[in-house]
Amino acid sequence: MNPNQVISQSPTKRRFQFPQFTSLQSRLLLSFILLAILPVLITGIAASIISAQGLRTEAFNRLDAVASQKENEINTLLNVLKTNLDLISEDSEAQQNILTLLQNAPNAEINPQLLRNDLASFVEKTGYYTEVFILNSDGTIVISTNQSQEEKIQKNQEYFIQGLNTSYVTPPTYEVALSNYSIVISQPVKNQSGRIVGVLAGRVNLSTFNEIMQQRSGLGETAELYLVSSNYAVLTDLQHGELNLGETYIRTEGVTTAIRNKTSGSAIYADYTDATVLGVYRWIPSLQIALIAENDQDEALQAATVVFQTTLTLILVTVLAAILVSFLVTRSITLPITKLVNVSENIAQGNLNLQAEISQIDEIGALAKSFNYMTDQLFQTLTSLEQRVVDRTRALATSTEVSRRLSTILDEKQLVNEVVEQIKTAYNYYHGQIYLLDESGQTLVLAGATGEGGKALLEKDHSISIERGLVGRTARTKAGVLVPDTSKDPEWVPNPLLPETKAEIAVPILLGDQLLGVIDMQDNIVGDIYPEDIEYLTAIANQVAIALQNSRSYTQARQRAERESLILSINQKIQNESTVASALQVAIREVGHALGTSTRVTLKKNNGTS
Amino acid sequence: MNKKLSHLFMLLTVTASLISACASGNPFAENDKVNVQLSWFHSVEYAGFYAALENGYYAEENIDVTLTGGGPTVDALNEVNSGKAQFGISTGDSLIIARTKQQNLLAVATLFRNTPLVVMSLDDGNIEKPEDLSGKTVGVIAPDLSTTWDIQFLALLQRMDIDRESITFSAIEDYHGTNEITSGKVDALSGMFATNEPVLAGMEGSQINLIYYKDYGVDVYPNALFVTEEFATANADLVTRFVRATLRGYQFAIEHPEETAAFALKYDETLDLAFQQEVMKAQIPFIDTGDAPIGSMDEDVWNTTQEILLDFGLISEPIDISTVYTNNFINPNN
Repeated sequence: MNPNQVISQSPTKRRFQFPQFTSLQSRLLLSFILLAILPVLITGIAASIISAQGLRTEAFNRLDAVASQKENEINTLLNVLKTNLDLISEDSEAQQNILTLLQNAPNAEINPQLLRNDLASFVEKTGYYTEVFILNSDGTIVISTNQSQEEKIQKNQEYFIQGLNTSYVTPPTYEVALSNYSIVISQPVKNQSGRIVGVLAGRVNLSTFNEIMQQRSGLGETAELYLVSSNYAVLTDLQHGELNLGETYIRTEGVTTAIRNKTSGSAIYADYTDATVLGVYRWIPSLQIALIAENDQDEALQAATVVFQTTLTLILVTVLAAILVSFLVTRSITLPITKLVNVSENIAQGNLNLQAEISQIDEIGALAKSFNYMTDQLFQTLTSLEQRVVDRTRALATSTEVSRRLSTILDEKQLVNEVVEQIKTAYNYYHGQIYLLDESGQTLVLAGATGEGGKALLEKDHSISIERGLVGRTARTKAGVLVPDTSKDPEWVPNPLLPETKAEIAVPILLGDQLLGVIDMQDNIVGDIYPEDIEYLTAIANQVAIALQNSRSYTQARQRAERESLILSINQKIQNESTVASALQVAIREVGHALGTSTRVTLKKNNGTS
Repeated sequence: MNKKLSHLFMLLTVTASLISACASGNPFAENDKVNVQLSWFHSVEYAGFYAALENGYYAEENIDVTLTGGGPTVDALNEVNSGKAQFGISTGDSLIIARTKQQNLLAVATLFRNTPLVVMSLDDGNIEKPEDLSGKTVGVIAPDLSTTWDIQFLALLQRMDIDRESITFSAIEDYHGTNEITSGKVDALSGMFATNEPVLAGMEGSQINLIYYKDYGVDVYPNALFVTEEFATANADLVTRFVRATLRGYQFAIEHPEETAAFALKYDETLDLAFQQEVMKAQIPFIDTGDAPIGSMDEDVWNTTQEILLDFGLISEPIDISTVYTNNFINPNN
């Protein structure tokens, strides 16, 4: 077994093959589409990425700016709140009443309701506080704008402990008795001698901060600003969720990072609704809370999405255009090729008459043109071949016919005329003639000719010397001569009786080496006589030579037979005579008869001799 | 999601947590076994423990945890002292008293950062402040006022300078909502947990008023998580891990109150889910006060507790309060 065969049959050797796009059209189509899509796709994706990056940066900057603004607002508010508390201390009458109350002066009776009203009017004036209250040095609320809070002992509260020493702000703290988160701002109350006798405190509801956070100026529709306590409890209203103060907790990446690390920053993460957001987080140390600013990524990158969608649309349009263009271009390329293929298939089947349609001036047009030229050449070659076959067949037929006729014609004159007529007709010549060499061997005598010109020549017993003209040359050289264009042959002698002669051919009639005559054929079309005609005519001439020979032999044989028969009959007549004289008489009469002359035979008596 | 797929995910999750568990410690070491003696019957008050168990937080810390329910006859201090339980839950005052009896117990976290103790009355304007209790009949836990809850109520009266003789005490027999008030037996009920009876009363539609003990200077941790001092010293890492997982459980509980309430039913199927859910929501502000890490304790509260104990002669000498509690096991970054 052939080892190569084994290897080639092994399935492991089978290589992967790319799908074959066998038709030119599909390959061109694929190339066009790829060429059209790739640049658009690459440009589109690049544009999308760049615009997305730009938009992301822009969105982060915007969020950052808003977060900074809100942080500032919050800190400003805290400062305002502290300053406002100072206003109470600066009100000398209120201050006096507060000190009186705190120092429990027994002789100075004050009306707590008046002080309460003072504080309430202050609350009203500032608009921020929900409650202003005063704690004594034991941490008991001695007076409050919310009377139900009075007498409560807050000595464990940071705002009291810290407030005894300095101005203090609590983180947002849930007050169960008030069922709410609030921050408390506190500061020490000093008497005239500078001794700290209590704490002045104000409670601010988160709604104040909520209002700040809900003014989302400069942010998109899905943007969100909120505050989260250090235990992840949400402190302000949410844009996409219900807020139950004290029950809603958020623990997203942004919130967790800000609270755990007490840092500020930005990130892309899933928000509490699981939507991907661009988030900026701020740790606000003064309140121990996190400020979160988030913007839905989809919204922020909407413009990039538009770019991407536009790219997709462009790709779609491009693909359609590419399909259309490539279809048209491919058609313009493949259609003429297909036509050429059809034509060549037809030609392969032998239909050489077909011509490819030339509708273009490009390479394919040139190909069609040269294809047509090729077909034309092929057609002409084949046609001339066929013509030559026809000619040869005709020559053969003529030759056969001539020889058939020749074998039946014994009369030389008739023979020559038949032959020349046959050849002229078969070859469609203008004129044909046969010269026979006379006994002198120097003159060619016209023996047969066609047409009126021929008749006229025959009648005047036309003959030519072997030294002259084309016929003479043929006779001298004993070889066929062809003059395709008589006007170009200097040796050629025109005959006034044959004015239309343009081409001439002459072949010798040879019997062995003996020249019997010349067959001379003339045509009225330049170049219509071909070299191979010499061959054909020579073959005929050879047969004519034999026929002439036969004819002459027959004539001689008949003449001899006639002579012998005459002699015989004369002999018989002579024998029938009984006398010498009568016998002589008969003999003379008969010979004379035979000779066709009235010969007078004179008999003289001679002793036995005559 | 496809069921098979979700099973696969579960398997992956379990595998992943096993791998991470192995990676975080010696893979050949056995898990620490811990028994926790609860202060009372199973309920959503212990939500953080349930959540930590159910969510695998203890497993992540390589701790096998058993939760043992309490009751009137179970003393968590004894259980921990005797070594039957490693962790216990009890009131802050009991831990100070134990310290004076040479039982060196250490509070490592508190479940509630404020006491939820309240005096509950109907919201008819009659009783809004402690002073309004004068001349009224008030329900108490024990007729002899010997329980910690009664003592804290007495401390409240004392702080507000209310003469206890002006009040008629009546031992509560029917703890169901406001039953004893509406029946006219009492005017108010002391020793109520804002996270329990008032929740039920609220669910039943009663309009109630609450006087918070803590607003009047009575603030005692009601459910401090404690260990013996020896245990804390010898197993500091275990205590840290346990506290971390537990507080993570409580953080989960306050963020997922309804889900966590359902966990409680796995430990006592007789519990009412709707009630447990409301209780869970009500106790969120006690677990998370907003101003400090959950589980963390304030020295002032411990000082207040000691003051009350001294005032009522339950201890004779003040102790160093820093020996009774520590926040050292609480990672502020939970």
